[in-house]
Amino acid sequence: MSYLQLDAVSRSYGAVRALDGVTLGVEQGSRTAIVGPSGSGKTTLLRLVAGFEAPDAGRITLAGGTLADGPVASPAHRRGVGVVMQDGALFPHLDVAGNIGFGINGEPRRAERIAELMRMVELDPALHSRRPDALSGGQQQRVALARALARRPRLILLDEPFSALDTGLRASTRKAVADLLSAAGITSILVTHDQAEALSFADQVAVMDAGRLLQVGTPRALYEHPATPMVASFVGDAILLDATLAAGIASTKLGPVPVATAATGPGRLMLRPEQVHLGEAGVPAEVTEVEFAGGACLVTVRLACGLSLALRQPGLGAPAPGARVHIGVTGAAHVFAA
Amino acid sequence: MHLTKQKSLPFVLLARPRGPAGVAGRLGVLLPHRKEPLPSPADRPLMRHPWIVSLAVLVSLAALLPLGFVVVAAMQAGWSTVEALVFRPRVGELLRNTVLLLACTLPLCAALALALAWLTERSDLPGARVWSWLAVAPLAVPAFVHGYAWVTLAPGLHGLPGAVLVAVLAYTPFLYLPIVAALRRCDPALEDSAASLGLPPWQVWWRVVLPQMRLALCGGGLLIGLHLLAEYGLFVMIRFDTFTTAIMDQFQSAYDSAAANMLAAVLALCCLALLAGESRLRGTARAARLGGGAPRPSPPARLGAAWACWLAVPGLYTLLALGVPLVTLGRWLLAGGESIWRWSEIGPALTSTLLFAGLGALLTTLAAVPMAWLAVRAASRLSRVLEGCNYITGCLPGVVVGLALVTLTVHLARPLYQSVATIIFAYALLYLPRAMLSLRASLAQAPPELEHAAASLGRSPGAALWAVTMRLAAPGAAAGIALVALGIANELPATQMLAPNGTQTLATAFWAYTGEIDYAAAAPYALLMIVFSLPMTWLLHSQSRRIAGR
Repeated sequence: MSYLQLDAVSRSYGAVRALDGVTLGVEQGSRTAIVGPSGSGKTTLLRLVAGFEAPDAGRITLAGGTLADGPVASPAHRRGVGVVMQDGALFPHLDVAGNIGFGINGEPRRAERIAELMRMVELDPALHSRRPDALSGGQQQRVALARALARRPRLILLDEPFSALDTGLRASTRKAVADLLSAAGITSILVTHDQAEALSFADQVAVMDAGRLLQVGTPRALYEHPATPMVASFVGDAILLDATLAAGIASTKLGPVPVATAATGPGRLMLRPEQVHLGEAGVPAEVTEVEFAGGACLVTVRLACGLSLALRQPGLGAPAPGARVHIGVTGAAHVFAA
Repeated sequence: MHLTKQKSLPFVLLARPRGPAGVAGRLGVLLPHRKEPLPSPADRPLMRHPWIVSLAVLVSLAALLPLGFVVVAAMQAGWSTVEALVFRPRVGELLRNTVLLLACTLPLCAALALALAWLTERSDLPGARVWSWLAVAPLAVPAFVHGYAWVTLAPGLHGLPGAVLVAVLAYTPFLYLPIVAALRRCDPALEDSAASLGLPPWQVWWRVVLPQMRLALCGGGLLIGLHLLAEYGLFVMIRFDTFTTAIMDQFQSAYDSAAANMLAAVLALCCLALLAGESRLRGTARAARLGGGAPRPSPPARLGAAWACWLAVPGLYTLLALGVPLVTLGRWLLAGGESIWRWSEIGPALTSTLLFAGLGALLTTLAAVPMAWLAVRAASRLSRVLEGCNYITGCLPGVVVGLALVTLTVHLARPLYQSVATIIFAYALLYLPRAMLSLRASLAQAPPELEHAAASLGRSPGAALWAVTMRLAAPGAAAGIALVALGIANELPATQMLAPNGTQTLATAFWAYTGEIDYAAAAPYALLMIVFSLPMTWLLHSQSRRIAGR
């Protein structure tokens, strides 16, 4: 039994099944990311774990204690589960220190603890008595994180906390939060619709769609061995091809490609675009379009059989539209189970 | 401003024949080269619209008349008279009454409004939507009709307890409406966060929800406070002395008396103190939500088995605030039968009420246009000062405005005394803030970018203004006109002081009959006033919903 365990948890809103029998285990001290398109049920899952809502059916346990058993659920304020919301949800009527110390009112050494938490999330002590609306988006998220950490939660839930930040800040904040959580050994769950964020943040990634978990695994396993074409294209760009398998080799429109399966007959396989390269040898193709984007550019090529592929290439020395090129494949292709 | 200053420069003359767009385009390019310093951004937009600014200044100066009257009256009377008239036991007693009235009424109204708002907005109370309407409906009954109903039902009711009871019943909706709007705007994520930080539900309410109600509580409390200071009819009925009733007493025995003027000065000071206290209490911190995540409506609190007890709160309130006036009124109407419908009197009262209300509302709204336009399209320090002038006058009671205009017309413009022009002017002073608020909000609905878009699509500036801004602002302006009209229709003290001799409105006719203890004959007027006020109630309720975006 895992530290946090969800067993066949379901929740409906009217006729919509937001969660449909979800079973998931989260190990103590690990970082899990739940990723899925909007409306896939990931936020509902998080709200059930936080205790803002109760499941219709199924059990949720944390460290051996039951949080919810069907509609009988312990309320959020008795769970010891910290939450960082999408835009921070800072209390507008309190300053930074008031927000961070909100959950530890009456605790001895409260002021010192607030200062310590501000150091921990790398907030300038000068911001101590600022109002939330005078903070930048990144600072607001740090305050929200410090506020959630103040009560030393058993589990911390992050609901798309980086989505309001701009691109550069996003990656650095994500890294800082991930490092901080590992250093403190806090079990965490991140909900996001951004697959790159999920892969880089988590030890374990769960892909959701339409209220169900499609696949749970390490980021590498999910990227290299997705269970379905949907998961494959959700966690990254994918080239999906039909092939005929025989003796560890698949015959495809891109020529013979090695596969790690002994299966024979027709099959469907996936290549990541970085496995496909332009070169001197291989299948002939014509460049139809080049989208320049600085360091890298997107080259679209068309094969004689009519198949079009979009390949990311270094911007330096990229071919021009109309050029004749050859396409080669490195590494093995992943074959989906029939 | 640009154009006049640039006239001497040759390149502008060259650009001239191209028409306004060409000039503006040229200036945009050439401006950095000129030697003169640019006017500061704050006063530039104002100077570009000299006509609008002068009109707004004129209206604001007119709005300061009552306050100016109070100051001048005090100065003319001399310090020794002021001292003798202000520092006397009677004033102390009135002041004590006023403070007690505010201190008892406001907390009760706040508690009742919070309970009603929570029950109708946040709980699974059966019929919450209906209760929400019923919680606003008492506004349709003018305060002095509330007083009339209670006095005829319980003749023994008087003094502070009676005044507080009826005032709480009549004015709680003024707090209920903003609190409901604020509750709907609250970000539920804040409450979720507080719960995840270990707060049980009642502490979440106390430490997170209530602080966000601060603006609503302050605003609604101020409104009720000002109404308490200005109300005349209700407190006469319930035999409770306030500054307003004392001033009317003085005025009716001898108008233009220094005693009445000094009471008015103290009353005006009370109003200003209330205004200052509110802005102090409100603070500068914003209480709006941060960020713009889609609000997830919070699930309603489960009342469980206690729902029947909770139902007593809105039930009892509706019974007392709506049931009592309607039942009493119905009883008087039945008792009076057909004979009380004296159409020869009701007809003229109705006509003059409609005339005053229609004319007054239209002129008030027109007078508010320049200032509202400046506030939205060319906000600056001057426009804020001008706006402030109007809010200050708007907070002065009708009796002070009435007294000021009576004195001014008698001394300076005798033919205008008790003329339609003067009374309409008084209404404009009293209700300018109402018109301003509606107009401002509706003009803000039509950002200048839309006018620019219309211009880029080939409309001339005038046509763009008409096709876009006017069209978008019209509903809000109409709502403003309606609110002012209904305010005028129920106005009592200023109308009594200023209405042309022999002219009755519904309110003054009602008042005259209740003065003669002919409660049955007063009933039809009360009924008509309620019928007129119902649309206002509906308007306020739907506006508060629209503010919350629903």
